[in-house]
Amino acid sequence: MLFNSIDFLVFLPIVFLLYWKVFQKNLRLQNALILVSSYIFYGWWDWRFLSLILFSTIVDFFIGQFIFISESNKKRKMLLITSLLVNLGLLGVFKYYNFFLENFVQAFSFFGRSISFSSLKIILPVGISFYTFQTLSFTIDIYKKKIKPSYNFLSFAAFVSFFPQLVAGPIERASQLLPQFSKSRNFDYFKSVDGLRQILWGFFKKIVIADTCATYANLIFNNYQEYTGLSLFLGAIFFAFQIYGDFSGYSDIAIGTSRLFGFNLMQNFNFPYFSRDIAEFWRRWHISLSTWFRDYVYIPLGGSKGGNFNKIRNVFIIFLVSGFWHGANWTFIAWGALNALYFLPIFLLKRNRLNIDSVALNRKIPSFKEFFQIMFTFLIVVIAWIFFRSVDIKAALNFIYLMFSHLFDKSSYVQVLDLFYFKVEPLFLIIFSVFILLEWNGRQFNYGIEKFLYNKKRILRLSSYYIFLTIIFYFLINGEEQEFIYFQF
Amino acid sequence: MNKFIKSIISFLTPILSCLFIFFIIITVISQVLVRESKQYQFDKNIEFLFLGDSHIAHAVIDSLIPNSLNLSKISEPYYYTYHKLKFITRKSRIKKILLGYSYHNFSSYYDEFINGNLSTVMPHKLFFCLDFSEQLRILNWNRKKLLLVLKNIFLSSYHQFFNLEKEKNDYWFYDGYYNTFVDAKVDSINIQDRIIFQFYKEEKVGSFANLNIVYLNKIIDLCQEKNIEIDFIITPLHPLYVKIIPNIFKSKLNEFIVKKNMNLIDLEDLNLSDSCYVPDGDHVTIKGAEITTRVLIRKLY
Repeated sequence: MLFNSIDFLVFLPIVFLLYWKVFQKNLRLQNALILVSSYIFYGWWDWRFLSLILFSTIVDFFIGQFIFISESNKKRKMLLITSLLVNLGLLGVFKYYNFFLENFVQAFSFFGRSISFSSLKIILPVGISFYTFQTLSFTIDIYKKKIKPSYNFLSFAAFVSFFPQLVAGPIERASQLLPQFSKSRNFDYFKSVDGLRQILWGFFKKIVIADTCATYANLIFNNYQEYTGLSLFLGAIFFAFQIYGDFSGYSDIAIGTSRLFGFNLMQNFNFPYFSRDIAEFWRRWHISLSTWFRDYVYIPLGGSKGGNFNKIRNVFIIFLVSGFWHGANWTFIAWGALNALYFLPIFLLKRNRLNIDSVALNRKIPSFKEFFQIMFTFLIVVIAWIFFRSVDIKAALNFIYLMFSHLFDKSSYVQVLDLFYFKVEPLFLIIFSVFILLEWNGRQFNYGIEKFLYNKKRILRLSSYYIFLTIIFYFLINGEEQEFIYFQF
Repeated sequence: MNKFIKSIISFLTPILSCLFIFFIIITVISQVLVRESKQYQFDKNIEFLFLGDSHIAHAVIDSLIPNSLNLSKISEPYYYTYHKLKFITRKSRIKKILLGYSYHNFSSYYDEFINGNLSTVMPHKLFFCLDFSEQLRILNWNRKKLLLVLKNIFLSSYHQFFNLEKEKNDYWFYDGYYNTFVDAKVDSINIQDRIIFQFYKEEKVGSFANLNIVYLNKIIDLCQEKNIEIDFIITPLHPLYVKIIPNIFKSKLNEFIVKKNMNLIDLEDLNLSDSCYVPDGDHVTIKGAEITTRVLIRKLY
């Protein structure tokens, strides 16, 4: 079920009312309702893949307990390896099988040997990368003795399949989310209102910003040979905002929906495009995945300890794995590698933790230096997105070549003017500018409009919500509906 | 909790009221105003009614055939034809219908126009011909694009009520004879693309249009029930197009005719020149339409 569907519009109020009105006083029933609702939510797409979630849940539930009670380190390690093999094995089969097979065949043909394998037509189960990582964190944390296992299957199953964040995150840690399933939850008016506000902002980002930017980005990326210089750069910028609006919008809806049910999920995006360097960007972009890799891959590898070789190796591993997590394509690996290259200089010069706080803290506008730092960081991030969006490495390199080789051509400016004059709606440009201002204004909070008109009259706040809703409806009717990008991951 | 629900209701009331008023307007418009508009009034002398999709719309010049009316619509699957016929027979006494019939009507891509990926193409155009239950049904089929469909219904009601012919193809419930191809010529690559689009899915021969076939049967039953004669018409098709149609569709088309014992006016092999066909090979140009209509007159009278 998609958040931006009529089905969800019907589904959510029903579950919400049952949860608070019918089952309010019974934690077990509330958890059971979450579990059933989550399975319906997921099964709406393809019920067959529910078996994968159930299998993963059962395996990790019992392995977690066995790890906890085992005293022998060898046995504990074996159990952890079993959990890793099962979970990563499923991920490998469903997500990476064809990629490895194709590259294996290509490698053989490179050496003059031709072998033929027929690739399987495998459907990628929605959200498999997200829930797999979530359950993995559970067994790894038990192995590291950071948490105790759950003995309540219902709570655990509800934790694994919790519908707001099941298919596209945030990837929650068992230590953070699982205990919330064991505590009684009371309805909190302000938390729920805040949840609704965040959902509204999420829809705005998805439907108004991301889906509209997608139209322009698709136009340019799908016909990039016809464009040059600045217009290609513009296409990459549109994609940068498409992916931000799409993914952070999804996260906002997920977090807001969770708040309606009394749960707190971690912030997944912290205004990444206002970052002053690439390290700050990676602390603010897809936080739940970045911290997952930090805690479960980077630190076990030695992190920033050891010599320069180890540091460089670890940085490359984490970025390459992160790229590969996004999809079985060399473009994602190249995207990861490029980000590693961006990151390494400031990391080796130990300047990666210079910008921890929000930019222009307690100020309305940034300094010139901050402004140029933000622009430069955004520029290099946009260049990396070209690899992420392109169909293959060759197309990405061609795109970049055409972009830079004709950057200052007169025809390139004409194309940009043509794009703005004929393709991009002026209304969208106005709304987009307001969106950037609202994001800037709300950069110290959890989401753009968290404190928007906070101390003003209620009627003003309500009016602003009606305006947001009207804009969302307008774009919903007139725009092209797009699926959430991160579903494919 | 109750305070929260009250707040939600009070916040949503203006929006829901607007939606409610919108639906009332749509219902009133559909039941009273649009159906009484000029385009829904038919001449009582009409004896022959041509129904079908773009094949009929492109090939039959009804103004040349006495007492006939071409009410075909581009991309119209039999589901909509059935409801259109049901609607018309409530208002007019029709002696005979001539229904477009071809291989592509049996291919599953035609079901896509009913409840699949192409389902947003038709609903607004024929919305006002449908019974209330069918109106709800198509809204359900299109629930993922509901706002788009509702917007188009609204625009359609406007265009139909005021009989605005300028965007007839986009908003009216029929196109009638519609052909803009003057200097076209058949093109083999275009034909291949057309065949792939119509009969193949993921590089394999596609399945049959089960839903479309159900409604083809219903059209026949309705005609029997209302005592209306019905003939099928196959409009001219370019030999290259026919040659590469997968055999299962050819067999299915012939089997259906035999099984149902239907009268068939087969104009498939009219031996028209290449310039009588549009590039895709399964529609005729204006020149082709003139020849087709002349032959049709001879067959009808």
